[in-house]
Amino acid sequence: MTLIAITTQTVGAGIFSSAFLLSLLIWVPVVAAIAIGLMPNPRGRYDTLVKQIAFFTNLGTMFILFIAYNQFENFLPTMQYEEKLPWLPAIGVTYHLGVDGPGIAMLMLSGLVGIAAMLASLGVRERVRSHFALLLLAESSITGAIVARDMFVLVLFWGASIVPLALLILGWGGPRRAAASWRLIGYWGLGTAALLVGVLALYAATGGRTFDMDTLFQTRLSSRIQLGVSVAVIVAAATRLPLFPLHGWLRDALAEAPPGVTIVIAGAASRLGAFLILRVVIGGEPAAAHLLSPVLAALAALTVGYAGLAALRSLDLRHAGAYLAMVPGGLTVLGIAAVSPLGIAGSVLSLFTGGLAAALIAGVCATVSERAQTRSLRLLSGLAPRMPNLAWLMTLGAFALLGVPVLASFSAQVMTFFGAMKNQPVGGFAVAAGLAVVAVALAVLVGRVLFGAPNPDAPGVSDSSLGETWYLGILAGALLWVGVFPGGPKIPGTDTPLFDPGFILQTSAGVSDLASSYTLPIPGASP
Amino acid sequence: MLAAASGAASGARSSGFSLDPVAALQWAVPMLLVAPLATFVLAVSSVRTRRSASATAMLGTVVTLLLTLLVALGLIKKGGSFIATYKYVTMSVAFSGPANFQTFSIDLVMHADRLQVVALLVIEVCMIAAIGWHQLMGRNEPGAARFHALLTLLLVACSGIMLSWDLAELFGFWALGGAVTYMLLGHRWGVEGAAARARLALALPFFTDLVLLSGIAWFYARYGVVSFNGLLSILHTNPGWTVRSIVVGSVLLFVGVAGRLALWPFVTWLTRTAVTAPPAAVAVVQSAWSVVAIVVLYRLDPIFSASNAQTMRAMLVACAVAALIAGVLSLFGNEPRRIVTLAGSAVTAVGAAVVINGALHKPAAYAIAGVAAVLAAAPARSAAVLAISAVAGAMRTDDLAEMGEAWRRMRTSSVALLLSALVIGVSATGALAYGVSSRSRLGYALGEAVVLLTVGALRVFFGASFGELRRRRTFDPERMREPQGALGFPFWLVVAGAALAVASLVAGWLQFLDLLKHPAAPAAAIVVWAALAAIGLVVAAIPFARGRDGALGLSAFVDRWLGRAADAVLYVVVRFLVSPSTDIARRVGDWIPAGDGALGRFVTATGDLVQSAGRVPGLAIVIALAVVLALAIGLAAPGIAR
Amino acid sequence: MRYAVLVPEAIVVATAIGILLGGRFGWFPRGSRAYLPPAAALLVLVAFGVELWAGASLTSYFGGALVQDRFALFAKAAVLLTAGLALAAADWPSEDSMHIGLAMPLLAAFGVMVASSAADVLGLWAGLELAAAAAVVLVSLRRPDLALRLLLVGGVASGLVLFGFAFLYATTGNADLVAMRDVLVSRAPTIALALPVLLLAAGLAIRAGLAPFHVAGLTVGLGASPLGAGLVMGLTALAATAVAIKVVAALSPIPAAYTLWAEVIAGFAIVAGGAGALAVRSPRPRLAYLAVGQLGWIAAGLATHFRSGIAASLFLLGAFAIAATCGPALLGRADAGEPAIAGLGAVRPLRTAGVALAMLSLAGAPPLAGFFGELAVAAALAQNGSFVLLGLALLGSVMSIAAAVGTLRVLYMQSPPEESRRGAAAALPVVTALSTAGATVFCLVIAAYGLLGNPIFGLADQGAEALGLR
Repeated sequence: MTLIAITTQTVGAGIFSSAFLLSLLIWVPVVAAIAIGLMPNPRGRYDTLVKQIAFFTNLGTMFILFIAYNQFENFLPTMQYEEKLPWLPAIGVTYHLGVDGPGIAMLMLSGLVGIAAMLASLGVRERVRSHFALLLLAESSITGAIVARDMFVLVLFWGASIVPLALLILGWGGPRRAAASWRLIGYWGLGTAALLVGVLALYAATGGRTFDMDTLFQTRLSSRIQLGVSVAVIVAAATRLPLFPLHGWLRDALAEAPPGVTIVIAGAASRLGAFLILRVVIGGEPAAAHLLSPVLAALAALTVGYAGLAALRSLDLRHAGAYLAMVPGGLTVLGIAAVSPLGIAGSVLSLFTGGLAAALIAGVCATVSERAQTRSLRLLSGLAPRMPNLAWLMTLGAFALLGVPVLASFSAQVMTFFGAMKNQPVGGFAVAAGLAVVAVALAVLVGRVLFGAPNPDAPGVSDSSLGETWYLGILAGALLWVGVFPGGPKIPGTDTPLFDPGFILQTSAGVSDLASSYTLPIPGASP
Repeated sequence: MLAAASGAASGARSSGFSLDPVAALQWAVPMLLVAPLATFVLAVSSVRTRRSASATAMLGTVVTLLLTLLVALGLIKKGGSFIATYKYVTMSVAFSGPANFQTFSIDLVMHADRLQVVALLVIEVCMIAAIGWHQLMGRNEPGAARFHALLTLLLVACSGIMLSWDLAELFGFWALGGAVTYMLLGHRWGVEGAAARARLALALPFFTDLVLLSGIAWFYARYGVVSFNGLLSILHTNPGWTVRSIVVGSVLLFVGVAGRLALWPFVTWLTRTAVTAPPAAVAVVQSAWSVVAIVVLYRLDPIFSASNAQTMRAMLVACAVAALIAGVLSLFGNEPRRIVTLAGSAVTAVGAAVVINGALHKPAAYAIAGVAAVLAAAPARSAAVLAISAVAGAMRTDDLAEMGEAWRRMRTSSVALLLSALVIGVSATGALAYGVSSRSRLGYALGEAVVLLTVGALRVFFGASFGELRRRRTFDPERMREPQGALGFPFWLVVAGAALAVASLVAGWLQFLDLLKHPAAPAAAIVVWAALAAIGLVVAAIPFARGRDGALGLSAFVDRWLGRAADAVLYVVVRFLVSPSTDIARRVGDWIPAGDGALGRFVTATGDLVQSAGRVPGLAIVIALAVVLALAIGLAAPGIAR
Repeated sequence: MRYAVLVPEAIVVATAIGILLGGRFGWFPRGSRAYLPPAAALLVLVAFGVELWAGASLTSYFGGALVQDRFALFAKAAVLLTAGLALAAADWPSEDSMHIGLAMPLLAAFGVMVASSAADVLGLWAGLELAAAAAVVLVSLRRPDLALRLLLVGGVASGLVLFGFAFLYATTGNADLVAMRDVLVSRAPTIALALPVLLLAAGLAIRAGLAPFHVAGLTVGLGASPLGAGLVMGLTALAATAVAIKVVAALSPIPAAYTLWAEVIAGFAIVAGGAGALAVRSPRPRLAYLAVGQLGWIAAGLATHFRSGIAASLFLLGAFAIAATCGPALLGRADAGEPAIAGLGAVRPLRTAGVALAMLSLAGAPPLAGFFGELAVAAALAQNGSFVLLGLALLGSVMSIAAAVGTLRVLYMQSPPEESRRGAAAALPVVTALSTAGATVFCLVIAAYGLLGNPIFGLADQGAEALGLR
């Protein structure tokens, strides 16, 4: 009966199926990017067309993704939509793709952020072709890193996301774009190098025959090797997410990038860090995960606390937004550090909600500073009456960071803390204390920028445009939808889901499998 | 929930209209959540003008009140409690391990009993009065649609907390209420003072909310369940349980609840916003949260009892100290709404002390008396806030020293103020008579607290009602009129509070609330504790009779010194804790880019070196390099020279 | 059929000599000169096709002096494709002489073909010298002083190589590489044996322009015409590396003699290449330093001295040769500092895409040819346990990618100068059907080299196996 309830097909199921669905998600944007890059555009004559192509490409991939999400069998612990082709057999590289629950969560996140980024970029006037082509390339590289089931493929896409994003900052960023771009390349590049070292160490330790995760993670390795690999992977992840103290790129990158790029970095690209720890350390190296969980908890607490304090002291709205965008990453890592089934499930949900919350707060800070014509917190004050839409969106962003109910981040926060309090109580309390500091920072920020007395010396202010409202609205709307219907809307009185089978249910697929090494012993059971 | 509601409703239709309150519980209980929620959605989606917003909020609240009465009737007829569970979300997180950790589910467990229903009624009455008062007195407040929508959302949160029988679900509504409270207390956009003070209303209670979450999480992590029934049944039987873990969890839960209960020192989030927030919001927030939190504290009693006596004594001391200090603080300063807030906090602390004392002395069942006290005080607090706000508005000042003559010029408000202060003073009488021995140290402490808080509450009445109302710039006493129309609401609240205060003295009322047998409180005890309120009345009256200005001047003077002392403490905290930590964060934030820059320069310098090598005479260098490298590595390489 | 294997060499040599003589004696009417580059490129591509078709048969010629094995097939195919693309993509108006500009790359390619199929040290040396000589000639057309410098430094390199070969011959009593390896199996790597081997390695490094020996060749490459630079940076380095791989295979019984040296040089070259690329701004020097860095990766693969490492180096060598040779050619005359290439993407999209891909590939940016090669080498290093070298190499690659992104910014994100302000230094490369086709094919090759890399990597692996490596 339960199984029937779970497997009830929803609207959209079965109308689309493809043996290379994941490849479509990766390569369709690449093809669109190449087409956009090559199409002639004399004196920006076809700028609108370019934007339309990019937007509808995203919409199309989101449609495919939504169907994939609907057809996803949440009771299967295995990978789904798998594709496996030999690529470089001489060194054991296969073109192996697949998704499980965490993967589908990340895909949905990157899809939503992608559409929001397109809407946020509609205002771009210079070099439109390059901008949208690079944005599409960045998105497809992120998608590739999410669905990769072969370490070589993962490294390939992980590294490939650096160049387009760096170029987007360099080409369309703010006054300090050059420094921001170099920092992004430096930190992410070194993170990629660390990841590569870890992956190659794993590859060598397992006999140097294959990069396929299925084999690499099933091979029993000594704790020493697991530790080495995990440390390298955590360093790589810490540069992406970012975690304190490897967050040096964050402030400049998020503060200087145009809003559309900011939300891609804060929302999707940086979540890959936590996803990597989940995939490799939790999924592949349980002994190291147990050993390193206190370190992860400490990093989470430091990150959240530091973000709060730095935002509290910041005099630049976009800097404050950038620091605040670090917070969800800390919570996700706390869930991972819990090394308990619920903590891991919480961190999976937190990948999605954290990405949306980080994108929302960073994006809204960017848009507010654009609309208010200044980033200085000395000048920004009392904007709420003059920009009510942005005021509500900023407040929602603040609530999303704090995990206020009816926003999806609440469920993630509850699951994370519930999961963490057994194995990492100190870490849990420390992160809670850090969140309190974040609350103070948000109270000061929102209180001053939105609800304070208007500043007569500040430049003129206007509320968000339709595109800006939509891009921020999509992020906030997704948080609200999953927050209100985590199990999906059902036909009243039945267990039959409507068009959404339930995000939290879909993304829990495979979590039990991931968490199988971390379940508590049954009391009284013989060891 | 909707299905339950529609099903029951259609059932009722099919057999002609015959409303059986017991059967109606099936849909009426969920409707307690659905009705205010629907009102909120309506208010957000389609209401724009001040009048329609107010009418919508009023309608929603009245409908909820009627539903609550229906549920109350059903429960009385049923003679017990009602519980219904609605699946919200259930997910499997593990295949192995203990069964209670294999799945995680958040269900809407709706539990309705008499206590919850009465508490809801109190909240709804306060809210109706506040909305009605705001309709006329809050004409000049901005954002009427937002304000009323938020009020209905707060009602949703309160209903949710009251009906929750699962701690996770409870925390959800709790945190939602917290967010709404912040928006309500910071409602006056564009006013610097309001925004600055509202910060505290977000940050401080959010901290205690996190502590509450940590406490709930602490129990979940050890027991795998957070429903009241499930948790209580295995508190001492679940494998691996320890008293220590229950102690830690209990302390966390207590602190978490104390934040919203606004016990001192957590009361500051209310005292700081008492003046800057709209009076209606202050009234609703103070009464609603005190009621909600005391009921939750009462629900948690069995968990506290499962810890140890030492822990409960510590909680008791905390409540007593909170009551005393809040009482003392209510004597100083001339900001009337702050004084009322402190007096209310003190009486809440007394109620909380009785609740904890009840947990300490199980199977004694007088904990409910503490709840009854707070239920009685809540409407009186709202009434006092609304009445003094009317006075302050008319006199255009928030300083008692500048007020006066309200007895002559604003008789209705003045009387409402007097009655509400008296009700606040006597509301704890029943609780103390049932739950605390007047000869115990706790009794002494709480008794002193009652005297102090009564004096504090009555100071407001004396200060505002008597003494000369002086002419000020832009204020002519002769032109001051008592605003008409909204004066009845504080009175109705006072009446409700007085009725509840009287009821709290009767054992039958307590029995009605918790369905347990209660021996009648000894009349002597009631007289003793009521006498304290009377003493408070006298003690408050004397200084005002002898020299009002001197009394208010003294209180202002002490308040200034207390303010300075508080500022000094704050300065120390900022100087030695906040500033250093934020400085470190700022320096790290600046140092890391600087370090990156240095690294970049180093790399470029290396590159320049490599580049400059291209300008040296190649031939000689190349030959030298070839030979030197060959020799050096030939000699150093393992397996060649060695 | 057996002699069809020599057809590519014949086509290349015949075309080169024909063009040289025709140019010298004026056989080609002025109007027909425009057809020479396409014709030459076509012939080279024909040779490439024949090589792929007939080169699979394993044979030997001239009494075993030349052998056709999988290594030869890989190296010859790579050099023919490289030469063909370079001729097609070159900006001919910026070359000093069309005839010599067409002939020298072909002769250099022939030199590489000889070296890659040589069975003894003599053939190796001859092929290497031929390739180097072609580069000297082409450089001398524009900068005789640099040509002289290259000649002198080349002489030193040649001397070191000859000294090494001679000593190896004297030690093993055999010039044949296979026989040499058989003899060395029973020898221990003494200092007496190691020193000449290390000097030989130094000679090859000088020829390849591997840091720190790049000090000799780099400035030459910067001063030459675009094709000349491609010859110095690409084809000569390819020849030297091909020789190095064969020598490493012959010395495989005594890896201790050269492994540490190769590791040190590789680490230094990769970091120095990356740092150098970051320090300079002009496109051609940046290309040159990126090439130095990638050569370091190839040397790192050689340091592993076993089959998978050498195969990875060979795979990367193909990608390196194409990018390093064609990069300067695609850049054409727009090589006078950053201003010359500002906004080039808007006015010469295909050429610019080629330059961008060449740079990114040399830097090892995913998902281009260089990345796959470097990752294959990295895998070999990990299997070898050389994690320090791997770390250094990755560090260098990060610097290289940062440098490449810097140039991409100038190419795509700066506005091109007004035509009236473009001086000769910032002249635009001409666009012809051939150059467009060349740039397009180059982009496709660089993009598809790794993505469709299985057959290429398989061939490289067979090539390493053919050298007797296990």
